[in-house]
Amino acid sequence: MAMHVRGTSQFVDDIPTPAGCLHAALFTSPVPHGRIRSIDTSAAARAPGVVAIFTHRDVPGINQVGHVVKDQPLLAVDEVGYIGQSIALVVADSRSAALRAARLVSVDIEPLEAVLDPREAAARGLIHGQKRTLACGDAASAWARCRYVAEGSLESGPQEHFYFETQRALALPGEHDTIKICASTQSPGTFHHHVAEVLGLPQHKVEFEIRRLGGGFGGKESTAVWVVAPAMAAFLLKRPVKLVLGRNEDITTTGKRHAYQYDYRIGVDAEGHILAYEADLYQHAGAGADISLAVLGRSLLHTTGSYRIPNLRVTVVSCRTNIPPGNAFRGFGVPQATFAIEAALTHVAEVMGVEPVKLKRVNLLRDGDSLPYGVTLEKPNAVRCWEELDRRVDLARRHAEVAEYNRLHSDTKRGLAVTPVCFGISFAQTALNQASSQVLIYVDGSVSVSTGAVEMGQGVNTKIALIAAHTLGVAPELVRVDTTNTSRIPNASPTSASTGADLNGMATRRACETLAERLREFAVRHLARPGLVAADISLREGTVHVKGERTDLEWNRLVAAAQWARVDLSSHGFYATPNVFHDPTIERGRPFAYYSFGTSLTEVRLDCVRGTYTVESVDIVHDVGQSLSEIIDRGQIEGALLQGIGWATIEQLRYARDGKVLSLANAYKLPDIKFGPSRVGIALLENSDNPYAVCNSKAIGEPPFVHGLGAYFALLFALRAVRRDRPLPPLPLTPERVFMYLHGPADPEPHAT
Amino acid sequence: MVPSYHRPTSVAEALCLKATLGPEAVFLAGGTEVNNLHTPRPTALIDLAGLGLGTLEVSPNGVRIGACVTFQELMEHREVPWFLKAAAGQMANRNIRNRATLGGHLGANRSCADLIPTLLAAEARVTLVDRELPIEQFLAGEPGLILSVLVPATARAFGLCHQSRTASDLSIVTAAASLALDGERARQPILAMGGVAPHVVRLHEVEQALDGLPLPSAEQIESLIARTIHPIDDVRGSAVYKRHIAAVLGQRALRAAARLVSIEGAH
Repeated sequence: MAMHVRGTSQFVDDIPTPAGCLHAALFTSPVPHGRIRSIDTSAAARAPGVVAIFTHRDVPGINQVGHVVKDQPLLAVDEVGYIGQSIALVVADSRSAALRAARLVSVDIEPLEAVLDPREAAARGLIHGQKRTLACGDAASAWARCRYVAEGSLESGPQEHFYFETQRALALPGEHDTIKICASTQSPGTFHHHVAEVLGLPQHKVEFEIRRLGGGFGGKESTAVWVVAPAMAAFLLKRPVKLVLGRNEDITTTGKRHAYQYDYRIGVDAEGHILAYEADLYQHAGAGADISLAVLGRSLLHTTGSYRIPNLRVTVVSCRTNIPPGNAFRGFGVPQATFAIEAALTHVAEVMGVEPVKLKRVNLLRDGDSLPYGVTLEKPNAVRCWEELDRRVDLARRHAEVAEYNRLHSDTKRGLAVTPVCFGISFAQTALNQASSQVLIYVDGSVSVSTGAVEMGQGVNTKIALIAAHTLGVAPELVRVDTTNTSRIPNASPTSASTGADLNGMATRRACETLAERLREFAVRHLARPGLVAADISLREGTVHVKGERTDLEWNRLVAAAQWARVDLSSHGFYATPNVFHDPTIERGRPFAYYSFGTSLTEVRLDCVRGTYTVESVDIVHDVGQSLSEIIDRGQIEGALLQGIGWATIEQLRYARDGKVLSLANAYKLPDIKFGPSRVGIALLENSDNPYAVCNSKAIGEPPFVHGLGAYFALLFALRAVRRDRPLPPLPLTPERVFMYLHGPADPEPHAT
Repeated sequence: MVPSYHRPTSVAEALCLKATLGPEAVFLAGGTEVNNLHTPRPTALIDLAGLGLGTLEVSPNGVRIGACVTFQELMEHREVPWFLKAAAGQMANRNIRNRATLGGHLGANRSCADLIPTLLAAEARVTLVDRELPIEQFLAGEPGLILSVLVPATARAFGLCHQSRTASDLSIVTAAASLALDGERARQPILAMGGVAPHVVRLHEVEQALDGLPLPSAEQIESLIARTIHPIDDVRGSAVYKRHIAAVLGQRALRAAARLVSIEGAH
């Protein structure tokens, strides 16, 4: 952290550029859909500094980087499906020469019709994979028993990752056709495979080395183009090659959080219990399947939010449109699914004439409730989080205060929203729930840990170091987490789905337990006291303890003696999350090891004249189990909250009619320090236990993002205090949309061109 | 990368370089605009740092601000009138304000420039190499090398109002108004707005309609403004939205100047 502040942390572009390093730039499709008749690289080839230009014909192996479905060529062959799809790779002796030359590539494309509306794509059968349906109970017959019913349509927008470090990689060719790649990626395991396939090499000739990322948020998990392209150039030219995307290049050509459209219908009984919920979710997925189907599946499994819904029918479909393929983004489909159920519940509360908070509380998941895919919850903390929040903020008093304020004021209004969060932890794709770790103890007592986890600012390496130090009974300063390297850790799952610390931490714990056991056995021999057995020995505070009593045998002397006595001081640990499975053909299973819960109260203040607003406060109670590092967990909650608020309010991505991204870096706005909540109160749920993850902890990366939805619903609360004759506005609820809701024509949605 | 860089030490030398290097050579002050010039990239830069244009002089006539004075310097100088400080503070963030200069701001003449409406409302005068012009006339003509801006001492009352999505964003719409208060009557009101046309504009029709009368109701002023402006759709907002919001902001700026509502940025 101190290194980040001082600017001494090394990211890809901080690695000293090797002698003879070349720079690559991509020439990408100028049209959203078309058939390539010919590509002319002759003018670019003559440009100053150009060394080589590659097209699909030059790919030595398989021209394919599709993450799940093999539908994304590294360089387009005869068809392009979105503006920004890579067609040619220009390599020159400087980055500016490569970028200049890339502009000189010309391509003759026969334009084809582009589809940019997800519903239209679905209607025409342009979908990825198959439509999926999750059902339980009998929604069709439950409607008759519903006292109140609400239905409507909604949409939520895309979100740009805006990691500080844009997509980039440095590729270094070695002897015997080997290649080493220093890349900004969350998926060294998968990209390792992609590079080997594209270059036609066995994987043992390819090495990935990753120190850290300047942010990832999911955007560096699945699309390998910007890593594989420089690797291919370096391999073919036998010279180092670097590719760094400029900020606007990154915004216009990489994937986003998926926009969704929703149709919903919800019914409740006289007391407000949900009897039936039906919804159709349309995922705006873009031209390639990328990781969209996994996002879609997670949306489906989170469609009930934090609520008990006995009769359900929800369908989801991934729509193939002509924009860059959407990809992973913190939350991975859960924020979208949660938005739909929260909106539906808010809507039916209006129909019923009660505050949404009442319906949320009545329907909150309890011990023994079932989720629609067949899981029975054991001790969910939804109610505990809610009650702890209520104890801290007094929900009834806050609602009464705001109602009174709104009664007395017409130019400004206040709004409140309670947002419960329920987030399943594990990769929904069971095979990914595995990790390995390599732990080395050196003769001076220092410890080196390698895992497949990628440090991207989320603090996973700090958590792993703490687990290792705790298990070996040494100070955390003795442990260093080394780079993520495919030559040490093979086939690693991506660092995503909030599982980085769960999986790699557990693998590290196991490797350390093996070493600790060896050292305890050695200590028995070394101490040579009569009757002593390994079970009497414990390693704590850097010292050998016998039956709880401290001895004078310190860690570094123990290690040195063990090495001299020929004890193996390196170990490998492996962990596969037990008992997780899901059968998508029947949508039944136990896809998640456990669930993360939280509840928050968001308050906003609305200026009804100008449509501007401020997020006044957010109070959060979040369940992290037994925190591995409280400061990291609090930081993750704050960061996720702000990113979620951004998605819900001002992060609006505008497209031209041909699908070109208009919101470049100067126009796409993230929440800044003044926009963020004036006050954030975070309480970690006390006495929470979790037998399903390392050291009783719970995952933290993604779940708190969902609290950001509170900004939308608190604003909606304030807007409804002004007028109720309009449908629910789309998300994000920008100041412009707020203003148009209040003062605009009945069908206000404007489109920039 | 810009191929050639020049750092003249006199105004004459700067003008000579510009004449020799041609239209694709640009004057460089803080660099915040030049860094955004992607197409076409300038072929040469003529750095103005050596010309001594970074001074700020106060006299009974007003404040004369050198073209290379930065926004941050405007905000920190004791003698700069509050409305200029407030407008400078609306621009982007501290990093940009440390670099961006008043001269560069005028030279770029962007639609959403926050200081230009304020300078129009203050009836500032721009000093070029060979002449001094009222700012409105300067903005309508071809920009040359700007030496300084005179903000005349005035007894007029000012009001500002702007809206941006975040504190570090450029304004979607920005408004500045000034008027001489004569009892309840507004004499010679000026209303200038950014974000509603390709460049900052003065709303003369609105000014004339209000001149010499007590300010009408907020709703009446809003409808006057909405009839006068013709904003376009862009990435910061739709035309419909900007027309609505500009009416509200213009109205508030005028009524703030007339002390009918509290004044944004005044202290």
